[in-house]
Parts: sequence; structure tokens; C-alpha cells
Amino acid sequence: MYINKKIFIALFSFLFLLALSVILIIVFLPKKSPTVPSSPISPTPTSFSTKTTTPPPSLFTQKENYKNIFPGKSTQEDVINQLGAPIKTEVIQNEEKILYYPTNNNFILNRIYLSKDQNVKYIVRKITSSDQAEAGSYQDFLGKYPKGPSGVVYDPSDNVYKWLVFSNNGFALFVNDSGNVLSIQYFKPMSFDEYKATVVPDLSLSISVPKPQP
Amino acid sequence: MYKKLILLLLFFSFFLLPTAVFAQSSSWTTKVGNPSGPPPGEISIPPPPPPDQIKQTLYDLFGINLVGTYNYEGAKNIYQTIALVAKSSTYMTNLNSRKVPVTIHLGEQSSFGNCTGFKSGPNDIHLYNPLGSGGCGDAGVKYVMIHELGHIIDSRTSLRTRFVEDAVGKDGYLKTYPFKNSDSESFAEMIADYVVYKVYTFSMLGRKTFPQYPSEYPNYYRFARDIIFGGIEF
Repeated sequence: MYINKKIFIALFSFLFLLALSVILIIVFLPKKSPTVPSSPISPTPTSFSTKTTTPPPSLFTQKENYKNIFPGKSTQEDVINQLGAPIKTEVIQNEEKILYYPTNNNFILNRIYLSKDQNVKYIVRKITSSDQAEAGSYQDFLGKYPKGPSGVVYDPSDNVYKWLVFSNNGFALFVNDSGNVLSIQYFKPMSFDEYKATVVPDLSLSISVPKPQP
Repeated sequence: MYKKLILLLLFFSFFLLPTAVFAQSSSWTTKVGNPSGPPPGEISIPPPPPPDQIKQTLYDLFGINLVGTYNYEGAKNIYQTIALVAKSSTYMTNLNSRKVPVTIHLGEQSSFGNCTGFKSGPNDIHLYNPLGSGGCGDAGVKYVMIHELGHIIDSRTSLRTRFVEDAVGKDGYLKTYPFKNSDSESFAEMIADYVVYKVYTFSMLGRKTFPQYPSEYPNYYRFARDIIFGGIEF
């Protein structure tokens, strides 16, 4: 009888602790995280996005050119062949045009500037958050250009980001103090003086620091 | 034999219980940093210190460096404003991501009028009169200062990209900003409006408060709440 009581107490303790353990494990075991869509916006199946059947190379390798379109060499026909029809075309001064192409975010558009004779002058590519995810670091990128930018120009409407211009290499990066890149400009390689005389007015930029705005 | 059985059962019991406790503790760990999890707790900030300590306390607690001419009331307003937003550890992480103090310049002549400010460099903002008694009022000081600190956050983080996609792209520019609007200004305004929309009377709204901010600019509001303030609401 005495032994049975001991067994009973032991069994009771065991079952109690076992039940408590099972309850704790079930209640607090990490649950599978819900699947979060990578972007709340589904990309529009435009000719721009459907053209690419293989994953694009990383932003890092794309920094010096955009989809094999080269300002000063490519024409409007090359652009249409490469990217399809633009979603919007804007005629600006002197019969020049801007072709707008969507990024992988519907609200962000890339711009391709065409001269009057339909040659590509400039490309302004927006860097979306999904581009950022695959981008190499800005510091790594600058490591390829140890001399640094040829100069700095400004967007008068932005007192936080500035354009670092690598004029001899034909591109400029719109960056903030943390090295976040918002946009990349592509243009025909030129001296910084030539850049200031041509690209700056064409893209409504400024060579001086924007006046403080509250 | 029974003794052995009892010892065996007790051994397994004591083995299982810590396993369960461990499972519990690791589930706490997985909640950290989960954006769908509960917001981080509000941080308790002490009241403004006396005049001889307020400048140093601002620096020590918040990484705020006050320069220029100001009185105790002015410094106290700065303290109360930063203490308000510092309830959110996420906000302070965004603001101090460069680990460099933010310098606030006070007492200069304004070319924009009272109750204004501007960012002059990566770590510097200027706040114009009147941060002392009278003047802009508490809500006005908060609006201007949090807007200007918003530019600092913009310059120190990579949040602009997502902001333009998630907020500007869907809701347009924020209508409360009284000067020339842009992605940059709407970013700063998004943060200021989030904190003061119930109490500040906006010049662009005919000197009225902006209670419809969450419904009229839902993507701005969500961005401020979730990304800038980590779930803390005001």
C-alpha cells in the first residue's frame, strides 16, 4: 500500500509535468511566419517587363549602362526594340521628347530623353526598393572609382539628395548622406564642364547648393 | 525496482519541463524584429532637467546639440518635443543611425518668417523664433522641429525609396506643406503631421487641425506609424 502511494504520487507528478510541458510547447512553439508579398503592387505586364525573360543582372553590374541603351549612340528605334513601347511620351522644348517606362513599381517611371533627331541623349533610371535588394553597396561601387566623382550638382527641389557626377564615365548617382541611391543618370561621357553646360540645364539641375527651404 | 521507476519518471519530468520553457523563450526571441508583431513599448522619458543641465541632458539622452542663443523656455520646448518622439525607439534609431549628433541652431534671424526652420547640412537644422514663451505655441514648435528632423532622417536612411513608392505614389504630395512641395518635403511633412495632426492648426488648412490625415493619406499615415515610429501612435 505504501509503495502504491509512492507510485501514485510519482506517476501523478510525471503526468502533471508532462501535460504542463506539452501545453507550454504547443502554446509557445514558434509559428510559421505568414507569407508577406514582396511588393503590395503587382507589376503591370507591360512590354518593358515582359521583354526580360531571364533575371536582370544586379544593379551593381548595371550601373554603367542601362539595358544596353547608350546615350549618344542608341536611337529611338533601338529603345523601342529593346524596351517596347513607352507608357507615356512627352514632347518638350525644341521637339525633343521624353519616353517614360515603368519600373517594377507602377508609380515609379524611368525617363529616356531623345534629341530632335531621335537619338538618346540621357536616361534617368529610378532605383526601386526591389532594385536596392539586389544592389551592391554604394561603397563597393565607389571602390571601382577611387578618384571619386568629377563634381556635384543639385536638384533644386531636393535639399537632402545630390547628384554625384562621374562625367568621364557617363553616369551620375543621386545619393543622400547614407549612400542611398535614388536614381542614376546615364549620358555620353564628357568633361564635367561640358556636363555643367549641357546636362545641367537640360535636366533642370543646379550647380549651386539649393537655397534653404523650410 | 519501484524506486528506480520513480527516479526514472522524475528524471524525464525534469528533462521535459526545461525543454518546454526553452521553447517558450525561443518563441519570444522570434518575435523581436517581426513587423507584424506588437509595437515596441513606449520609452519613458524623464521631465526636463533644470536650466544648468538641460543642454547636456539633451546631448546625452538624445544626441541633440543646442547652439546659438536661447533661453530655458526654448531649450525646454526642444526637450519636450524630442522627448515626445523619443518614446519610439524606432524613431530614435532612424534619427541617430549615423551616430553623429544633430545640431540645432537657435536665435538666428529668419528670412522665412517666424515658426519656420530649415536643414543646412547633413547634421544641422535651424529653428527660427520663437521657441520661448508665446510665439508658435507648443504644437507649432513640435511641427517645425519634427519636420526639420524629418529631413535629417531622410538624409541618414534609405527610407525615401520606399516612401515614394508606398506613400507619394499612392496618395500624392501632402497638402499641409506650405512651400514648394517635393518628395523631400513630403517625407519630412509626413513625420511632422503624424505627431501633430490632432493639435496643430495648419496654415494650408485655414488654421485648422487635420483629423482626416489617417483617412485622407492612409499610406502616409501607415508609413509614419509603422516604419518611422515602429507602431507608436500619438
